[in-house]
Amino acid sequence: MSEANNRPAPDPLDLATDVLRGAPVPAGPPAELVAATIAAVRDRLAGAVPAEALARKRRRRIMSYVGFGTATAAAVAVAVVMWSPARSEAGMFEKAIEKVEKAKSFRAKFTISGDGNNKLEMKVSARGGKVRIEQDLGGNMGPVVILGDFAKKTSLVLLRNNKLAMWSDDPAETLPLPEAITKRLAGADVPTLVDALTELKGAKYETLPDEVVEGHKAKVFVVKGFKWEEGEQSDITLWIEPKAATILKFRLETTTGKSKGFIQEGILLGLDEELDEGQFELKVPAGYQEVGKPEKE
Amino acid sequence: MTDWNAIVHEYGPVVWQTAYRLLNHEADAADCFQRTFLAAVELAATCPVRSWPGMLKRIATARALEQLRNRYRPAARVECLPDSPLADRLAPGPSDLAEAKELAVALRAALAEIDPAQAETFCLVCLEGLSYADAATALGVTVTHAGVLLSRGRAALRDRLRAFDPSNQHLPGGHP
Repeated sequence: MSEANNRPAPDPLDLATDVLRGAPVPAGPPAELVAATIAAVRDRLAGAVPAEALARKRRRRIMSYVGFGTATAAAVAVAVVMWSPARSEAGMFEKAIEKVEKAKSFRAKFTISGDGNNKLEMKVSARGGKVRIEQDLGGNMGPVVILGDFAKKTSLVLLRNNKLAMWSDDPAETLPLPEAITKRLAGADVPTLVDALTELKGAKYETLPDEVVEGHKAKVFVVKGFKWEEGEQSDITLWIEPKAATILKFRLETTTGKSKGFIQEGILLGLDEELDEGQFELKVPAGYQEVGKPEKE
Repeated sequence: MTDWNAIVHEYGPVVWQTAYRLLNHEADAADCFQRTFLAAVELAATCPVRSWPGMLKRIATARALEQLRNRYRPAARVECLPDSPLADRLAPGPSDLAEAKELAVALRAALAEIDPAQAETFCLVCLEGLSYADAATALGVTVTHAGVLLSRGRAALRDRLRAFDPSNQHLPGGHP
């Protein structure tokens, strides 16, 4: 037994605290922010009404103009607040799509099924044209990390059990991944499910009864007949948290074409985060046997 | 009469650091910065301020945690799914740096999830470096109460960071 096995494992919380405490902070605050803050403080001291109080005054004026009883007036005030574009269903749907469209990164857990009894589960992170997929293929292959660079049309597959690093510009030859994923890694212009979400802007949808997703009430939207690939159509279901207009869960089921029955489901873990670039770097770890290294960098 | 011009200039950097460290986003940190001083104006009007840095750190921490909760709430709940622990054992790129930053991201998300008072106490003591006594004063609680909040907060955070525990030997592939 090596000494390393006897060494106590570091506490993740202590490590995380040290990292967060020492996290680099850009020099600041910016001079413009200081000036704007001083101005805002002066306004507040001079008796200017803050935004929240102005909103409350607006709602009270509405109640008095309507001239109805208290209960009805309160209902009107609530209706005024509720009827704002951001909170209407259409606004919520579009805002949720817009968040995905504008996000510079995402993290999600995917479950992909449809080929007989095969079911793949994976965790995907993506940023700036690069992707990192983690999954356990079981058996001899075990845990796998797939790193893809769309711009370079190159992927690196790391097999932990075998300490093997395989370069590939055609992942379909290497691993049993869905065609949509391997084509994407090879640089083909095939949208992943998250890419596809951004194409739903302005799409016609139906709503289903609200559901609870991991303890959160979610509005459910279904877009039918979405064109997934040439010759194929799919139904996409979105579960959206109404207050933040954030997608909690999504599902794509191909209903026609050669991939009929193919289902991708995803739980969104994070959106538009500052993900560390290092986790996407196509680099072979020490101790791994390298196979099929590309001739050019 | 409070010289707010001097207060903002003198303690601005402290508030900026507190906000940015938690939010890691310039626009969000700027929003938090301004809201902190506006809240301080309200508070200073109702009671004398014993320690400006302590009070401002407390307000900035509370506001930043609020923003984190708004940012993370839906995803944070979903992250309670039994994530495959293999993620932290798979070969990454520059492993130490990537893991450390993943930890920081995970800690921010966890802070958004736990009880607000516990999160605030943890941030004031463990990130801002306040003593138990100073943190208790800033929070308006007894020192004992602050200790309990910190202990419970650490336990809750540790629980949410268990996926990063190298001693976790559970098999991957858990289902919700």
